[in-house]
Amino acid sequence: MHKRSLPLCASLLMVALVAGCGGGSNETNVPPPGGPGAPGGTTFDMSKANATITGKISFEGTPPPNDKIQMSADPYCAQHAAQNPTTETVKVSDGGLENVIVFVSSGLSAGATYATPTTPVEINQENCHYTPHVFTMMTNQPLKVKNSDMTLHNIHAWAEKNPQFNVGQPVKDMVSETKFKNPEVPLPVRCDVHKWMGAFIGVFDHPFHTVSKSGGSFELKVPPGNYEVTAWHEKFGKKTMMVQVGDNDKKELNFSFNTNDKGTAD
Amino acid sequence: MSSETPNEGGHKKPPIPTPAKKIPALNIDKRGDRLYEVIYLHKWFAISSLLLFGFTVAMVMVDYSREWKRYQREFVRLQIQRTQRDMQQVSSSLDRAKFQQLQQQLQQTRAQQQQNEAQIDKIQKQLNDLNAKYYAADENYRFAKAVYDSDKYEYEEAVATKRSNAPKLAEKLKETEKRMNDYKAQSEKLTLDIRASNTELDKYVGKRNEIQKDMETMLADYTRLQTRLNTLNPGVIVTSFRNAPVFDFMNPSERINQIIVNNLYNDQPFKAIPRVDRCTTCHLGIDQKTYQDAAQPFTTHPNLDLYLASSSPHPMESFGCTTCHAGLDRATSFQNAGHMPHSEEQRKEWQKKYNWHEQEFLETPMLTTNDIQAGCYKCHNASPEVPQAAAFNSGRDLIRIYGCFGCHKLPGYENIRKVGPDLSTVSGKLTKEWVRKWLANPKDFKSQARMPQFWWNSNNSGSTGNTNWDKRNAAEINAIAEYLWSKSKPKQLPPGRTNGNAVAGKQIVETVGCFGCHAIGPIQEAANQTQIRRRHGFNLENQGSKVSQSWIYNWVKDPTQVWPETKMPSLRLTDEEAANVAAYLSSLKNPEWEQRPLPEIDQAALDDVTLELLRTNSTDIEAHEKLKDMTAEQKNLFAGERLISRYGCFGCHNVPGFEKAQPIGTELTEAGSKLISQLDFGFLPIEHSRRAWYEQKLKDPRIFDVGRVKRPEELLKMPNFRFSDKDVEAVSGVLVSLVKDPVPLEMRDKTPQAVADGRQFIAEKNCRGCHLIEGVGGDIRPTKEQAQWPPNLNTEGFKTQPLWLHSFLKDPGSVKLRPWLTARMPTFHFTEQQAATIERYFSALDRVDYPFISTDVETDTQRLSVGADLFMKLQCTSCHPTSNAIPPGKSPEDLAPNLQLAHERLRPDWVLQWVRDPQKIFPGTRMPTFFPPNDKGVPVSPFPNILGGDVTAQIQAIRDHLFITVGGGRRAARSGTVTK
Repeated sequence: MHKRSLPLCASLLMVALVAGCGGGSNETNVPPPGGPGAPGGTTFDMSKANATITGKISFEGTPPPNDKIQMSADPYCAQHAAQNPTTETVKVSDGGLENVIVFVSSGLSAGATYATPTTPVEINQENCHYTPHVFTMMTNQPLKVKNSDMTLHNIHAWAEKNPQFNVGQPVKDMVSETKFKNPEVPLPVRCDVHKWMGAFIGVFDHPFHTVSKSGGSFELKVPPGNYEVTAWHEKFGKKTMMVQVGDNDKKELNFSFNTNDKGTAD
Repeated sequence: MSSETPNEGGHKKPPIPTPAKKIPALNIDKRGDRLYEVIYLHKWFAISSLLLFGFTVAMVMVDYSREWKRYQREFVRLQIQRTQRDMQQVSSSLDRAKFQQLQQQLQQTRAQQQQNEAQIDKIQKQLNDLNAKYYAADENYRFAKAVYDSDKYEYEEAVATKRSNAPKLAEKLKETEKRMNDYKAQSEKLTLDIRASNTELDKYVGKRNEIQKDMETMLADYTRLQTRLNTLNPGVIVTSFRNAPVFDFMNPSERINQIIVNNLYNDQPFKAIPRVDRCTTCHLGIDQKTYQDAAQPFTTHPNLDLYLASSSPHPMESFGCTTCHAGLDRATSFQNAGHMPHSEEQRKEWQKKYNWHEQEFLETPMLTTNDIQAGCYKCHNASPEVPQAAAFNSGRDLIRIYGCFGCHKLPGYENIRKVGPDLSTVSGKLTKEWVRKWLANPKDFKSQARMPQFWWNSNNSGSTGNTNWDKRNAAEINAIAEYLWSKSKPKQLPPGRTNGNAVAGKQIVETVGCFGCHAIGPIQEAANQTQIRRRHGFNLENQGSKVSQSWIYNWVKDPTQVWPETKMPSLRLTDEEAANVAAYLSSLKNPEWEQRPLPEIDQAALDDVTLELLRTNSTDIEAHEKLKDMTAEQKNLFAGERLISRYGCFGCHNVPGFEKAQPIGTELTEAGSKLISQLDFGFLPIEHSRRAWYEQKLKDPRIFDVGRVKRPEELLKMPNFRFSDKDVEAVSGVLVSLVKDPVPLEMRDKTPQAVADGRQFIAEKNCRGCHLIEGVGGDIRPTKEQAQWPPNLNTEGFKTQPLWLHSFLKDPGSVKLRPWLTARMPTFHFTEQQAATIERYFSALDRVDYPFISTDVETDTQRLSVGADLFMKLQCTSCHPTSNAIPPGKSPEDLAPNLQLAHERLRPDWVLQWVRDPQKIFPGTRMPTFFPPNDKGVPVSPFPNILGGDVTAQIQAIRDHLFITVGGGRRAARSGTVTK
């Protein structure tokens, strides 16, 4: 005790000598306002995304036929699904490939964060079939999963970069909700009860992504810059192209797939 | 002091006789009668004292300016910076509007207060007055009570002893009691008055106090940081005073931090010196989460969950630093601590930055980040693997797979069967010609061969400058082959079927599970999955150029009939399947190799070899005479036997005649503490460290002979395994981990014996080649579709009933649990004890009872009917059949396990957890959860109207239905009866 108090006294003495009688600080002091380095970073202003990239995903050659689906294991499905059902892997109309995820894969300014949409993305299980078959969303954006069928579906996201999501929906019109924290493209979704049911999600940490529509057309709104744009299809894999857009610019970017293209992942 | 005239102030000395004029008297007028001039003396005295002073100051300064103090000052600066940053953050996140509002309110209340100042003053005064009165009254009461107590005792005593003054005392007692009660009443009244006054005062100042309190709460974080900042930075003068020489004995802010670990010593000659780790003197942020992004030496430890934190398994206070990292414990400078660079770039950087150089005499330099896992083994040596140390574990696996323990004594590898095949029956399996070609260079036949190369290495090939080696090597190999054939007694096997279909065989080999232990050709390792266990069995490459189809048939049909000690289990192949597999494997050929000519046998070389071997225990003349009398066959057999003994072939193979031979390699039990001076680096320009030597030895074991002049029998004998760089790194990591450091018992790994035994056993049987156990293994997975992966055995102990598991392990073929799996659980022919080792291991891992458990389910009819309802509503049968029949329209791969078996296979408690959240037990399982959590993480049932939506009760009902109704299990004997 003695040994400790001596240095303490000495220090206190010195403090007193040096600082003099500083006195207690007034309890109503307002702290100085935070400097420029305040936390939070900047959230991207979406009005700056004024450049447009449009284009078409064309398909050369004869599109391969889709696999036929055998639904006899579940009478409900067999009864409600379309006649001679097939998978939706390859959908070509007007020479354009549908269900291709088109997204900015690099060139975005590092460190920028983007507001997470609060409106949920929806996927419906109807007549033993996912609608939509391919869609994109942002990280942490809610995903609503609906079962419109009178049969059991389980929605199983075979994620690798996110925790897997696998929920059984035994009741008609049941809705489950989930979110994905990390970007993952593609994130395959399957129903383990009906193995023909499949969908693909593109989860991004930015809002510059879309899915090609019927006829293979797409449109992306981006801020001015120099980008690498990737097109991904579940069967034909990935293609990338570079594009440079200025303020309020409009650029066309056309991708082309053919039967020899092979998927890398999946 | 100094004076112009020598007489003034000087000593009175007898006058010196006037010197003879002849002697020149230098400055005689100034120095007078002295032999020296005082003024000079003073000057020199002044100069030397100044110098002395200067040097003393410099000495103290040099002594005080230490590397570690610089780091500590830097760290304080860093802390101040962070605190200021935090203050800024706190202040910017402060709800300024609310704060200002409070401030305004405060001002308002103050203004109001001013109006009522007179009133407040009056109440305050009154309150002070009352307090004083209360104090007096209270004191009076206490005194009165003391008097009362004493009177009471006197009265009681008087009554008891029947003294005459008792009545008088009774009266006195009454009086004192009254006085006491009066005072009490007085003080109680005052208490009430004070309370009333306070309430009144509150009317005027209560609001203000409240606001002030709110403001303080809002500013709490900020004030805390402010205080911290003040403590960190008390000003230059205070800090320099505290740390000034001499004054620093009191309470210096710069000081050496040290951890003294109990019962841990440095083993020095003749003395054990306590271990005192001073690393934290400079590594100041090591145990604080917030310094992850700080530069070294302040960076946070990369894994606080596992190390340093007091809640972690390795708290800093009881493990210190050098226990794992090695290095010199008491050092307080970068150089002395024994830091070791992990790469060439870092070495250069350190040389530049810290003037770093290797320490010649430090026997325990720090482990680099590359081989830090080697620091684990000294405590984690009870079980064959160190949790989470993947690189280290793969090194241990490699040692087991390649059989290093055949020649070298290595801890943890005792009582393991030799890794190579039994050579006592070799002539029934192979041809002599094949063996001669194979021994010359095994990797040439199979790129992944585990058999190392003994001949044509860096010290016994033409590259040494001696061209005789080619002939000599061929003669040695031939002699060994001749010896083996002379001793071999081939097993009589029935002729195997050779009419199989290779295409069907390929399909079987690829699906049935061979790839859990074997590979064909080099393995393409996936980025996130090692497949080291696929080297457990030999590589199947070019098998057709090695053994006959008939032999392969017999082998795959029942390996134990060919070799009873084999590790290969039975895959329960039908005759046809075995024939197909044999057809496929024998189609894997290397025609180029087959057509290669055999090396010629040179009799002169054989004579040389024989003579040299004869000389080892006879004189030169005797040796020559013996050689003359020997036939070629005798020479071969003699040389073959002696060479096998020299090269230690029996370390890996059972060789007839060498059943009791001792292993020939150096003991490696303390390889990590071997003195560097004891390692022969030869003439190689490599770093003189243990790690570098072991790596070089593993890469090319005989390279240390290069440049040396040796006779053949003196040459290094270790064969070349042609390890990849990655393998070399892993194995040498294990070798440097084998230190003799005595570790106190309390630091040692406390893995239960059942777990340690289990791990050892599953490693020997290579269970992890197919299964994921403790999160490790499943090496077969990359060769299969995900739906075809063999089961993950996480929670196996908690999951399965001991009886079921036992019967399954004994006869896996009898259970058709997952009809969709193409891979088969092989029949290992486990003994009861072996099966129990596995079961005990799983039970101990999950900390569940074994072997006696109750599988009875306590339930009632109502719950059973709810369970049946839920079972139907959840449509469990969409995937799970409840009989052996496959439902129409389904193929086996669409199915989940047959639920009829659940009641005899699963533990009832496990089912409850499984149904609640299957992903938690088996991430990636196809089984969905039906009770997904809501926003708050609470599981919600899709049927809110059943059992009030109670998830636990619903799951219980399902389980009960499953066990009792579906399975026909036993109900618990609740009311004294057991119902079936």
